[in-house]
Amino acid sequence: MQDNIKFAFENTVQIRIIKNIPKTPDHVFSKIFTRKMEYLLKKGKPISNKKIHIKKAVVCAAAAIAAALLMASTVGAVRDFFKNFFMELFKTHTTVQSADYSEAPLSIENIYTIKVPDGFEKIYEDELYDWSPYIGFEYCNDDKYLSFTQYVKSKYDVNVNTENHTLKYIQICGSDGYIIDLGNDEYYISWDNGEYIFDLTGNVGKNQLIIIAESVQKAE
Amino acid sequence: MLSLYLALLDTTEEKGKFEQLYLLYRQDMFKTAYSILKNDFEAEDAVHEAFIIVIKNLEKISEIKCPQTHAYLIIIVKNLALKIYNERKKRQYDESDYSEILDTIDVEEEIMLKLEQKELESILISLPENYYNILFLEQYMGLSLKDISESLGITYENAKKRLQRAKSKIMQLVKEGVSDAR
Amino acid sequence: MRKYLSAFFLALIMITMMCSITAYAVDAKYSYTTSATSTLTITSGTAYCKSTAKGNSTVTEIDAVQYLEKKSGSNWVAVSGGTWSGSANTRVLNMSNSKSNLSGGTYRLRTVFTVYNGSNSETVEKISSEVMA
Repeated sequence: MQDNIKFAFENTVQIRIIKNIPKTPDHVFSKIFTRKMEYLLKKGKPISNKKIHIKKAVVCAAAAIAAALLMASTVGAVRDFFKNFFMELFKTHTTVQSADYSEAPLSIENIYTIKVPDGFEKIYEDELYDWSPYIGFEYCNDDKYLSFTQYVKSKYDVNVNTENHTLKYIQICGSDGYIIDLGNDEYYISWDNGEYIFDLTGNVGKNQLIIIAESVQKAE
Repeated sequence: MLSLYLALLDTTEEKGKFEQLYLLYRQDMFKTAYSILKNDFEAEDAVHEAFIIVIKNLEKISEIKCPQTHAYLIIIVKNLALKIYNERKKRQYDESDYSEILDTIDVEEEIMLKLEQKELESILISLPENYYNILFLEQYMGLSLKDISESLGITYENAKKRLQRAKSKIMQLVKEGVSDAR
Repeated sequence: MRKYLSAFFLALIMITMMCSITAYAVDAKYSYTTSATSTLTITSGTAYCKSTAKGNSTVTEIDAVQYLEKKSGSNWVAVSGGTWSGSANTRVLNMSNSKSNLSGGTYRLRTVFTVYNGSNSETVEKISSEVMA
């Protein structure tokens, strides 16, 4: 290139081009732009539109899965309340079974009993056989009653009244369980102590029933 | 539309060069594009497209920090912005907006070479912007017509025509004795 | 964008449905019945059938019929000599019965309780899980 042409341009470029660049404040580039430029810088060629759409689809799919898992886990959390129990809800009742009995005895190896308040008498006790899935006890004190049953976990399969009542979580001596308010001071409590599942029902009021439930221990 | 090209930045040297250009000139490029498009996203698009062109012509850039390189990048983005602007307005890019086609005999080059530097400078200052830019690309940057058409985002034919007209204009200015006025 | 949003919500709905723990069936009433069990254990060809129903303090009587049933195709057929009835004049009924020399197959114990509150009554049915003989 001729020198004079070269110099002519060099001497005019400032006034013709550089001077006309607007002197506005610097721009904050968007995330999309920065990402596209980073790709260009890295790969030396622009990201294809197909890749952008694939990326978008992957991000959306990942977000959907994450949200779904979160939803599932929150629903699961409700079930975790009763994680020892497998429940099936119906309009008038709920079917309850043990959720995990792999570690539990397959028969009643030790009998558990409750400590009943003064005035209560035992009026019934189930016979215990090798095959017994549960052993039940009945107590009464005038018009007050207490029913206590000890179940082999794998055999625990009960329909409980939830027609106008709700199952609520409860802990008995640190064990997970549920309680149903049947009205008229009558309650039903069931819990899993790891080895067996127990249930206790009576018309002695909630607090009293819980105290009795917590008195459960192996019989001598 | 970007067709096949082999511009993969092989060496880290080249990568560094491109990155430096990007960091150094992106703001001015954006401001230029924005002044035409008045729209952040469109202006960013123009800048991005401009850098794609830059990558393809990286070897033609010798110095990173010099006004000529600066100017080259501005020319590219300005033309892209104009292109987007025209497309937005659905305006036909009409070459006939510009001055009539004069004699196609290629005497312009010879005459340009014979001109004194001072004369040239006066002429270059008087030239319409479009013509200045395209001559800058051909004469200073040494780009082929194909490269010019890519840099400006116009067809090969249009690039050829515009360059022709630019040189004709110089002829015209020389004949009119513009240089005398300075 | 809208496409992805709708796909996202669709996935969400599907997962929620899968996690649903509510089921509805044609049920009897459970006004004064507290709980009901119907348990079947089979060892060495003998079926042990134990059923229990507990009512609240208003319950005066409970009657029950136990049906030992064997699976035949997709139907359940009552086992001959495998039907028992029981009764209690109180709020709790316990029934235990057995049947030996069972032929091989799949069995279940279906117990139908009638729980009385004075002259009112309600019917509650409980079916055990299936057991192989």
